[in-house]
Amino acid sequence: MEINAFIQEFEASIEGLEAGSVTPETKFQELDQWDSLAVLTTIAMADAAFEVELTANEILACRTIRDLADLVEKKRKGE
Amino acid sequence: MPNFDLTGKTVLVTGATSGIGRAVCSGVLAAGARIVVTGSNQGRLAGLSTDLGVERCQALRVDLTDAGERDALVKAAPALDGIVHGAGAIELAPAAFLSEEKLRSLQSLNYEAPVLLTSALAKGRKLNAEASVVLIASVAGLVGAKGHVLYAGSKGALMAAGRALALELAPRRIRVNSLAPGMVRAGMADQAQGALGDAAMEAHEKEYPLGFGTPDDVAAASLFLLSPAARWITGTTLVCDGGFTAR
Ligand SMILES: NC(=O)c1ccc[n+]([C@@H]2O[C@H](COP(=O)([O-])OP(=O)(O)OC[C@H]3O[C@@H](n4cnc5c(N)ncnc54)[C@H](OP(=O)(O)O)[C@@H]3O)[C@@H](O)[C@H]2O)c1
Repeated sequence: MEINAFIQEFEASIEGLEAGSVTPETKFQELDQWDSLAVLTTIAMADAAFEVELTANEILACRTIRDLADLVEKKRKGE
Repeated sequence: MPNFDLTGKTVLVTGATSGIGRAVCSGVLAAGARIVVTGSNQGRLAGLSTDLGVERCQALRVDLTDAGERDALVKAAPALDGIVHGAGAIELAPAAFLSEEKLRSLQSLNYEAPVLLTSALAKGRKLNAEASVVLIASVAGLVGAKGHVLYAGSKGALMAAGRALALELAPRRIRVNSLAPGMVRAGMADQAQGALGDAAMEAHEKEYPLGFGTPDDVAAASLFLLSPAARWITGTTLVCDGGFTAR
């Protein structure tokens, strides 16, 4: 999975996030748009777009968008 | 003197293998009734009946979303003095990620199953006069919460149907009430914790003046609604939420 593909899905899913506003280094939990609904949205997006099941604690243990994309990629490969 | 005794009565508990269902079963047995317990998982159900002791407990495996299996349950069930509809499921998802499939499956278990089962038991003359029907709903059906669209819709529908059922069954003094628990430390709370995270659950508990509840707290409220002490209470919802919705 390309990190850009992940970023596109992330930006399209989180309410109020503009396309192009996120980079691999973005600390997503510091975004204004990040709240409990964004956690649920990330879980739903990972399931719908990448067929990966995430838990909230796994997401909240990630710092950057790259960490999050790596987690999804690892799970996708069944690691 | 108010009468909380259930001696000689028979109570059906669906979702008996759940955290809340199991507590209801223990409470109902302690109050003197016999119970009919159901769940969809044979292994868990067998474990439950072993724990409860087989003497006053009949176990029937049934997938409540299957019309044929519901019919079989109605045929196999003895005449009932009470039902606690505890089987249910939750699906947390943001509004933009709802699917028709998830909506239908939640509606089927949380709303259609208890309503159609109550209807079939009434038609099959399996509800004794003065029986008490308890629908386990949720505060999610009363106040909004992000991510709860599907669950809220199913539980809100259940409470609404309960009021109409209460009117129709009143001539035989059969009572129908809903019980709306807030967050209770049981199976569904674990699921919510997985979707929201430990920190969010901790913050959520702070919104409860009396903290989160236990399965026994919900069982106690169910016992009251089942008992003759609640003989003048029908068509209402008993909120059991540690003050969460009091604000
Ligand atoms: N825990 C809470 O915080 C909370 C708050 C408010 C309301 N409630 C409500 O209270 C009830 C019990 O909650 P819980 O947390 O104790 O539940 P739970 O542990 O998640 O258990 C769900 C129960 O439903 C049964 N069930 C699921 N699918 C079924 C099917 N197709 N046919 C028959 N039975 C089925 C399960 O039996 P099998 O495993 O055998 O399938 C199990 O006994 C639910 O209606 C829930 O909505 C819970």
